[in-house]
Amino acid sequence: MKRGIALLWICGGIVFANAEPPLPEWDAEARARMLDKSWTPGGSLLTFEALPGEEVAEVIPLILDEPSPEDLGEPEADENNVAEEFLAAYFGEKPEHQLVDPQSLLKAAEVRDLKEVLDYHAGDSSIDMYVYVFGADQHIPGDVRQEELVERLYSEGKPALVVYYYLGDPQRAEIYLSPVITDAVSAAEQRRALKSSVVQALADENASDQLKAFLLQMSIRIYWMERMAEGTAAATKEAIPDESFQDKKASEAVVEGSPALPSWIWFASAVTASVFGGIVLFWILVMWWKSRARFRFPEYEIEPRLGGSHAAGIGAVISFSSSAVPPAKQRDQVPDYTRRA
Amino acid sequence: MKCPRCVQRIHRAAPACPHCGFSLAYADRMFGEGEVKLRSLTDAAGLFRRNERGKIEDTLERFATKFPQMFVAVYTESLGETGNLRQFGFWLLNRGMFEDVEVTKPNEGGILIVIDPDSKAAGISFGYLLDPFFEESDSFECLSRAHSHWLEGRYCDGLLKALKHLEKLLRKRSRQARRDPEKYERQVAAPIAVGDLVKKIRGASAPTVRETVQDREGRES
Repeated sequence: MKRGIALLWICGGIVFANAEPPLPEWDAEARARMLDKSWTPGGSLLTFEALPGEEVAEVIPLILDEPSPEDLGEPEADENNVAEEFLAAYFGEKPEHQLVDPQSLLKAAEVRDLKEVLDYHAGDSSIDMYVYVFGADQHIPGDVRQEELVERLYSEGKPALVVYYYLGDPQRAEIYLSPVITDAVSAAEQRRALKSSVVQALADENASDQLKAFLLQMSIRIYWMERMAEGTAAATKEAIPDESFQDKKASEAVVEGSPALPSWIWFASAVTASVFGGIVLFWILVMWWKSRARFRFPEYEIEPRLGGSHAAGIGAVISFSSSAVPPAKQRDQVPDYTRRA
Repeated sequence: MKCPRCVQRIHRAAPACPHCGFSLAYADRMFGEGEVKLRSLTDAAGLFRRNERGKIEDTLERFATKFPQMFVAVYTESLGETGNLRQFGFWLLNRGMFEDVEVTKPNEGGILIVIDPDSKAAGISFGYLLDPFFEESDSFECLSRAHSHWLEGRYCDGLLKALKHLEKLLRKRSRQARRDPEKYERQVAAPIAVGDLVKKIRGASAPTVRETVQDREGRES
């Protein structure tokens, strides 16, 4: 019975599901409005206007905060930036001295000390070192581009290495090279120079001592940069109008195809090379002759002794059982049985 | 020339030591009568590593090339209580057949270095070829070079030092022998018999026949 009822219910459901609902019919007025595009079907659903009978909700205006400089991508005015009054002294033109400290962050004695170091370096090296000193917490304003500054001020004249040094915080130091020698000194070498100078600086506690240690180490590293730059210095010397730099390099650099060295040096070098080559050749010949040398002994008739047909030559016997008995004490050879007893 | 047993001086061609009676027959009774086959480097005591053996063999080969009449052999063994380096060296150089030595080089041109790690002693024996040129003090110098190395158990280093000095010394002796061969010949010449010596003295002082005739003619004139 129950099965029959369930079967009837299922069949009824199938029949009802197969029955299609009636299609909507066009209203003539709506059809005419749709055809002339003055009405869009379903358009009432896409409007904010209230439907007839619907309550109108009160519109609350959305009030947003004004965008901050950070949101707009504009640099934030930092109170730690170097004051504007010093910017011209720092970055206006090429400084007269290698130590640039318009804020007088260093004491007079320290300045004198550091200037001595830099002057000595300038006299000894073909690459100058310019040091811009800033406070430990200071920042260079964002509109000052250090690379551009170096290109602008240090493209001409003696090549230079520019250091932006933050007094008391050596790890923030940055270095830039004149464009003339940038290609000759790899970025890796520059990083190594900076790193080793920072390490040297950190060995001291006093800020000015740190700066001095930094500069001394950098001066050493500049020597190696000079060596690297030597290869390219000759090729670019025309681009370097500074005579002092050219004069110093002239004795070392040899432009390919043109003898830069005096003729007597060439002559002396040739003579030295010939003499040295002759000695080496002679030595090789001697060694060759020695290696081919054969040593013979005259053969004499020697009567056998002690019944030995081949040998009866008795040489020394040496004992190495104790360091207390050196060879000198064993010179007098005695029978083995007397020693071994 | 000394006896390997009692280290007393003996005369040339002595069939046995006049002091202790030692001879090869005595050594044969101690170490054996037959001939012994061995290589120029025989490390019976196992003192050298493989690469060290290579080094030593190279040095021995180089030596044999430089001195075409000679060769050097190295023998290491614990000879025990009965061991006697001089006697053993004398016996081995007479009874040994060195397989890797050219047949043109008899044992007369051999130099044998024996190392005994148990008794911590080393000795040198040499063939008749070197009799006039190589002395006991020379062999002592060679072994002295090795002493400090052997004290520390560095047998290879010591041996190479000794061989280097031996080569240097023999080069020098070879040059000296070429320059003045008579000096060395005198050392090995047979001793002059007493009768010969008298004749020599008389011959030197007695006038020759020609001198006698000339004297007589001079007196007559």
